[in-house]
Amino acid sequence: MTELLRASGLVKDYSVPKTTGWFGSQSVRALKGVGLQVAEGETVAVVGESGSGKSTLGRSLLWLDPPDAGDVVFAGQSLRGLGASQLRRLRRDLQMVFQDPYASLDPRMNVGGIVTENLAVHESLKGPALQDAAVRLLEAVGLQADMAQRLPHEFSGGQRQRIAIARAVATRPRLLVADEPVSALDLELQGQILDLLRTLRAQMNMAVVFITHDLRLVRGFCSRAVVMKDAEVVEEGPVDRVFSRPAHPYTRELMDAILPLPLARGARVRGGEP
Amino acid sequence: MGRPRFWQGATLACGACLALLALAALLAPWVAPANPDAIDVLHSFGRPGPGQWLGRDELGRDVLSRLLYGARVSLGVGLSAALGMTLLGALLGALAGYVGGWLDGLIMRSADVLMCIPGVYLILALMVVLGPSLVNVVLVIVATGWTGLARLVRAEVLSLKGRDFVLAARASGATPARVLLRHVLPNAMAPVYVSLTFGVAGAILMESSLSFLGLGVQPPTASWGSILNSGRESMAQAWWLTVFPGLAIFAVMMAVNLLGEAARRHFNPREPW
Amino acid sequence: MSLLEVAGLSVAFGAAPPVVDQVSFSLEAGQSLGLLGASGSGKSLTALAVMGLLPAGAAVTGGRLSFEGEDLLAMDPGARRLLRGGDMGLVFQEPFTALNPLMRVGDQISESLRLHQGLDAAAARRGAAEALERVGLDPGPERARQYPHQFSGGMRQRALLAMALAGRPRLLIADEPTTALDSTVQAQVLALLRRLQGELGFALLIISHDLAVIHALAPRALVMDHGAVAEQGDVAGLLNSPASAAARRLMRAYAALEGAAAERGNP
Repeated sequence: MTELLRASGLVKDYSVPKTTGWFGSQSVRALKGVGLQVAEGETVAVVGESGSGKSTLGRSLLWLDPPDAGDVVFAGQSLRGLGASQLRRLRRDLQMVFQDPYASLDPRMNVGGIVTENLAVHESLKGPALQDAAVRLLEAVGLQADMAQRLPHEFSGGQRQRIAIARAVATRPRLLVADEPVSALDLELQGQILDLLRTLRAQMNMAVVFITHDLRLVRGFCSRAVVMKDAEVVEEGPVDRVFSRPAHPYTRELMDAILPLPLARGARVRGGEP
Repeated sequence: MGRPRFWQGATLACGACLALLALAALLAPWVAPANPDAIDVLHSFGRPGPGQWLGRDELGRDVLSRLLYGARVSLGVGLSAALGMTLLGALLGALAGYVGGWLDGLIMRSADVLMCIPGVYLILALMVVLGPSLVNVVLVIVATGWTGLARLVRAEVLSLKGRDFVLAARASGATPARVLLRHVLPNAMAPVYVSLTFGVAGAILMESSLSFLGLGVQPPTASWGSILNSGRESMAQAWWLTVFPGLAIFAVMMAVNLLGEAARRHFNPREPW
Repeated sequence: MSLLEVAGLSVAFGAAPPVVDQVSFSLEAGQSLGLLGASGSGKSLTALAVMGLLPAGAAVTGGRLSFEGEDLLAMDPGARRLLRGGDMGLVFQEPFTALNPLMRVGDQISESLRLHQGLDAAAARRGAAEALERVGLDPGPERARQYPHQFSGGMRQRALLAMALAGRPRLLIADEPTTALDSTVQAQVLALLRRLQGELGFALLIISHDLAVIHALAPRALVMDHGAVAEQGDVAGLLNSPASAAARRLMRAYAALEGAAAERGNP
């Protein structure tokens, strides 16, 4: 498989207010020299807990929050070296789905406008062409065409996340970073959204970087896993190997924390409604 | 539910009143019963009655006509000053919040300096320097009044900058201008509507005060404030010279405030109405 | 006599269709029961109804609620309020908002102790420190002096548990207690709950949309869907042979996760 993205030596510091004392801020290192490679069409899981730096990594990969050191090379181009407008043009191929479905959609734009924003920016679509595109995108994620005129607050969390996905895939990006896309949803909905992502990924041969803290979701969706702790990568490898023979103690800790279920051997749950 | 419907009706009434007033002001030359500058000393301090519905002032001029012509001044000043102040404040506040850095520092420190000087004194001083004229009144109100809204808009923009949907807009490759105009500003409009409406009310009041003090319109031009000014000394015997202009100012301010409240609620996508 | 008896409970907002529809279950002293359902299935409202904490506009429209034989709905509001935080404890989902950011953690627990156990200030302070140590927040006195923002999510949830348990409840209701937490912290908090239940002997009603969380704490569960109980039974039975359509829908999600679960904890 050809390499699509290579990140190396990413370092990112944030300054946060001190938790003790009156004034002053302290520096927190969110990434300590992190590297990552993603091949065309590959699905990579970035697993870690709060504070591991995984979300910062996601934003750095897209150069949304440029790292203080290190570089990301996407399709042969160094993102650090790009000028502002070149970077903007590249964004059609580098998209993101955010964690909070209640905050990632502009509350004042109707849903049709939201999903076609990328098309309006990159392909200058207008008027009827834009409306057709909106309908196409909404239907691709399992929503109805007549929802295009509605505002985000009229939709449930699961529906909003579908809208966010529609927005992200509108320009058929080559890489999608999904930052905890289902963490805010019920388990039942999580499966549905992941199914949707799987389908879209296959249709578009899109590479996906799937950031999550819930290991249970990784196996069915990703082929490679990268484990992060305290702003560093502690383990990486094919998902099956990482799950069955974790090398790093922290990875083992994460595996042990997966809550067991009393699944009977060979049990098959008969399907209800789709 | 009763309450929302009440507010809807009251707001429509306010809007209608203001529209009527504006219309009457525009059509003053045709609607006014008399020439507002026509001096008729024989009828000075005429009581309100047929032919002089709101009475006459000390020079016998018809108060109703003067109020109608004066509405042009007061409403004109009010609206243009408020619009200018709001546009300037919103623009500077948004730039300061979104661009940050040295621009933010420059704009906010200028605002701080202006806000340190008590508003009324500053305006008076400027008017004395520039000389009394309506244009100067508008300019001075705009130059001193933009700071409050700038602060509020900057705060809204700063908090919006960190929201996911703004990040998503940047992630879509939109230019900073597009992100600011299409996503950030529309969501930061709440203080703008409030500023606009209070601004109109405040500007009318400020113009009235300035005219009252002789620093606004010059005689014989009528404005609600100047009518109030001349009626000041004769309040005891000619109450109509202060009551009617005062009521007019009050009515417009009330109507504009209610409309502003309605606009704020209408444009908030979450409140049902 | 069961500790908690819920019979035909219905809750509605005004004249709208009921959001909790004829729900019945009972809980014995020291036992654990799960309430499983998606958002909007009515599981949280059921818990709130039991605690007497229904939001404005919602009311119990039918059924019986009794605690230790006493009718909760007929109870004097003052007496019901004393039960809350005392014999009946509630732990919510959001550890970030359930603690007063302006009060030291120890003070919030002491408040509860003074109210429910009538302790004086000094005894309440000691009690608060002990409560914090019991949930693994050592050293108690130092932790008690800290503010919520100095605690991590998991620590705050432990503090909330300490607060709920300070009143020595006979019944603890935990509504999605670990949903906002990282997986390792989740495992720790659930283990803590199990241990505390063993030590203190309270009955536990665990509410979640995740069957794995319920399985960690309770042998049996109710499946709620659109306000009604779709199915009841032991967790393994619900997972492997769900009878109702609602339960089948919920369990399909686990079939997908089968891979990961089968590798790890299948006894």
